[in-house]
Amino acid sequence: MNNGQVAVPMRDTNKQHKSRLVLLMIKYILLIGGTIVFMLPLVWTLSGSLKPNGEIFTVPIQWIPETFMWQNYINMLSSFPMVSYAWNSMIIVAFNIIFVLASSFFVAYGFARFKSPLNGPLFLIVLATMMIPEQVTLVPQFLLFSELGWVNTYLPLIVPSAFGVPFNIFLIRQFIKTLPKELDESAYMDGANSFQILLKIIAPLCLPIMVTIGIMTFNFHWNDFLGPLIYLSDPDKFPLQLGLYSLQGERDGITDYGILFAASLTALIPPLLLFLFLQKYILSGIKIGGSLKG
Amino acid sequence: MKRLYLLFMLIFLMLIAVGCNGNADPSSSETDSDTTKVTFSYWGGDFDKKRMEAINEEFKKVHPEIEVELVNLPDGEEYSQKQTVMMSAKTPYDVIQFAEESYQFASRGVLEDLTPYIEEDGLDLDQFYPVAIDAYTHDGKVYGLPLRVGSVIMLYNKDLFDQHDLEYPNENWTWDDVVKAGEKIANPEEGIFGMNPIGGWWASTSQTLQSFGGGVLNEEKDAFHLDSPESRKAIEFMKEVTWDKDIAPSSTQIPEGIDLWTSGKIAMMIDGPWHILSSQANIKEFDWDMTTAPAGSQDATPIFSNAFHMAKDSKVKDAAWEVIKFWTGEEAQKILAQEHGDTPTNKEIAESDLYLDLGGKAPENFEMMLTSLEGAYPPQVTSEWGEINRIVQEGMSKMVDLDQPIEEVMPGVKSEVEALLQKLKD
Amino acid sequence: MRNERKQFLLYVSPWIFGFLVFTAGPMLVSLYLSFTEYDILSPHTWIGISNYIELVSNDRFWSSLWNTIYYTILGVPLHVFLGLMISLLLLRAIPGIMIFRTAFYLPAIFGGVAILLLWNYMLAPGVNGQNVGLVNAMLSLVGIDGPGWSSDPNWAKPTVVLVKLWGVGGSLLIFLPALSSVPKELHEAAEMDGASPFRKFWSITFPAISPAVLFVATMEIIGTLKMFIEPMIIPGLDPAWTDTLMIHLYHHAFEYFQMGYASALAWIMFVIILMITILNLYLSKRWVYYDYE
Repeated sequence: MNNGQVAVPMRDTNKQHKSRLVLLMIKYILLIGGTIVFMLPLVWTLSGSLKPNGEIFTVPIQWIPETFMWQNYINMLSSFPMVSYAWNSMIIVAFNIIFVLASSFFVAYGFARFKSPLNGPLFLIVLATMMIPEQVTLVPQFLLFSELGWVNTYLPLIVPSAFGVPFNIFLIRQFIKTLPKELDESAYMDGANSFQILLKIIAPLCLPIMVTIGIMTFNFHWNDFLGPLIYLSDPDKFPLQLGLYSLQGERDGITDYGILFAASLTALIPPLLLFLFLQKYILSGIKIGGSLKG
Repeated sequence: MKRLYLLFMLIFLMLIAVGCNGNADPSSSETDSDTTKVTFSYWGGDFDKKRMEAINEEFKKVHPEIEVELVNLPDGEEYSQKQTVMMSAKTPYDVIQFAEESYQFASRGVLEDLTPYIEEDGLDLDQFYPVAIDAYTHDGKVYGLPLRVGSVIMLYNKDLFDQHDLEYPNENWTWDDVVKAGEKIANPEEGIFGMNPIGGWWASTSQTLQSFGGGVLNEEKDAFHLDSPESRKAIEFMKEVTWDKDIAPSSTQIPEGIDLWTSGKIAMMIDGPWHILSSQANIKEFDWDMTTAPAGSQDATPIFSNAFHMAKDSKVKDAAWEVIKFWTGEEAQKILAQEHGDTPTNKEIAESDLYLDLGGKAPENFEMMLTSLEGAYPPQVTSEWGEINRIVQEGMSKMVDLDQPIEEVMPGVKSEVEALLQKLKD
Repeated sequence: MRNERKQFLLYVSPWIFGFLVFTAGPMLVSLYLSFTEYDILSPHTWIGISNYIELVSNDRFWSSLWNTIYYTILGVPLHVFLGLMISLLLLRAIPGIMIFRTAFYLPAIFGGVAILLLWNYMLAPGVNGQNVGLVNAMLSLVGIDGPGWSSDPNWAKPTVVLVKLWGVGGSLLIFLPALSSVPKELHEAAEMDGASPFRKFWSITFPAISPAVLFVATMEIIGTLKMFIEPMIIPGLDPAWTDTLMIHLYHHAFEYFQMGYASALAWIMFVIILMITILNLYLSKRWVYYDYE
């Protein structure tokens, strides 16, 4: 930083205009370059999923296949239980979203709106549990679920969500705190109880944060690997990620890259659709700035 | 407000109900009064799936009262992990295919002793290859019955041998012959190799060690033997063919997206017999044949097989026994024989034309499958098989695949294995 | 007043229940288990601190610990820095901004096995110039002979970091709202004084968004310290090059079923993560400005 130089204000507006134009151009170059780097893997996969096995790894890369092997996608559907894996993933994801939203919202409302000497200390524990890595509890939780006979079912992957997720409790509490308390108070005057207020007044206003958390929950559980890996045995109960993983490691089969590429790419579609449809909520839900202390 | 709480609990209970329903609980089998459901877990690829389903079709005709649910699980270490998890939850699969892990599970008391069932039905065990039954007899009790056996064999690409005017390998070949031929054929720049990288799983490692007179453990299975002079010679040899002579590809020389053997880039393939089926299905561009695995200072063919076991916590043991009996019985053996892949454990069927006559298909020397079983030896199983095998394979991979010096890797492997052997003694 | 306390308890009770059953209880059980030997099929036996001794004498524990720290020290700063730079580029609504934002954010939602399996192939180094994956093929276009990535001991760890960086766009969710809430007036005032863009960033923007930076850094540190899936799917040729503590734990708990050893490891990890988090929060006092607003 050269202080001497910046102390002199630029007077020549024309020059300023020019330098802005240059800056804008640099910006565009960076953005376009970055976009290419970030998108190339997807383009390469798409192109690979439409090629015969032998043509995927050629140099130079042939971006547009000579003949489009749509057959890869047909083979994928016939030889790989894509639909059933995706359905399993959907079940796990759907239950989690419902439970995470309901429970976290319920609990966050308690922390945000009710005075109690326990409120502060308990919320501190919520924050602290955000920092506790789940691996400390992984083994005993496994033993607990095993004792309950829940192994090889979806219960271990879903039930813990029904009791509030600390990170989400934190986010929703922050959000509710920014809503004016007068809203609640006037509703109390009208004789509403706290549950009615939660449902009729707070909930609609919390839509953006709920959508954000819904999407995060979707992505987390859609991509979750460790949980299903530990708990599920029967392949017909596998979610997509685990199914893809098992497709990879067949000993006596020869990997069919076309199918693998097609399947992996198809697995990316649901999160992509979700993102495209709910884009506007995603960038407006989270409010962290300056309010960590509450 | 209380209503919400009730609603909350209601949804929770509903979920549990849904989950329990979706949980095709292997133990709750008497759902239907006239059929008993038996869950049957196994591993394998498409060929295995097809075979198991074919046997199941036959089984249905004979035993309409038993419904067999076949569960195809991922193989390798993951397989025993899943079994352990299911057993610890007291919801095991009723019939379980196990290979070398058999003793490990039997010694922990989670498998049913089949001896009383065998005696009650008067099942004649002499119809099977003795070595195949021995592998599943622990402390005098039979824990599993096998359907198929195999051994390490050598497949070779005739075209590559012809190009270099070399004689085809035969059952008398030693490693020296393999290296000599391999050196002539190998051309790493062109991506052509003399042989596949050996090792990578227990039988292949064991075959090489044994052929030099070495082994992982001594014969009494109570001392570490991988650092004996014989074993070291074998390891040196495995390193040599990959790194010094470049006859076998190192893992960085194996390109993505290509199977070297079926695409004709490897002259000699020394591995398990499952390559026969996939070779028949996938090789179109060259001629190939087979023989026994090469010898070093001695012949060595480790036998590997798998057998069907019964879980101690199974609630449908009688039905499970019927399943095991049928799956190793004559009809099942015949279905297996017609694949011309793994050898049926039933001697008579294995030696019949049903198995040996390929009707002109490759490999011509298919009867080598039986030759390689002569004098085959069973794996060195202990109740810590899984652990020891893993430690040895990790160490071998460092020495052979990554070319790390034996002196650097061996002490760690030795101390880990010896700690486990000590545990076995206590 | 008492009613309010009761209602508070009622609302937070699901969490209290969950905390006791799924977090606090298991943590205590895990502490107990760490002093036992338990293979889940045979009964457990008390063995004192043997697990802890075995742990510190296990090479793989130390290599996993080192790898985990490596990922944290190299990966987290890169993640925060790049995330912030990209957010600054994407802040102003210039033509085409939605396309750019989508392009940078998308990789973050593709975090599962699917995309990592593909990375394995994209990073294929090839043999004799054949069968080359995307990355080295692109590098060869600009005349660079790409490294062996996962198969090269020196590149295996950076490979994991690079693959993870592809998802750096996830921090846009935090940085963009934070950046856009920095009051314009402050910037305008600074511009009047003739401050350079660099100086403006350091003296105005950065202090204002420092809580968001801390948040992203903290989340990233916690996430990296328990990293599992990336090195699991994209391991080095020798997995010891890339394995993390979490993978070490997974192997011992759910492959070898050494629940006692795994519990001891879990507690050591917990202590390490706790120390790093406290250190991070302590250091953050020097550069995070909460009083802003």
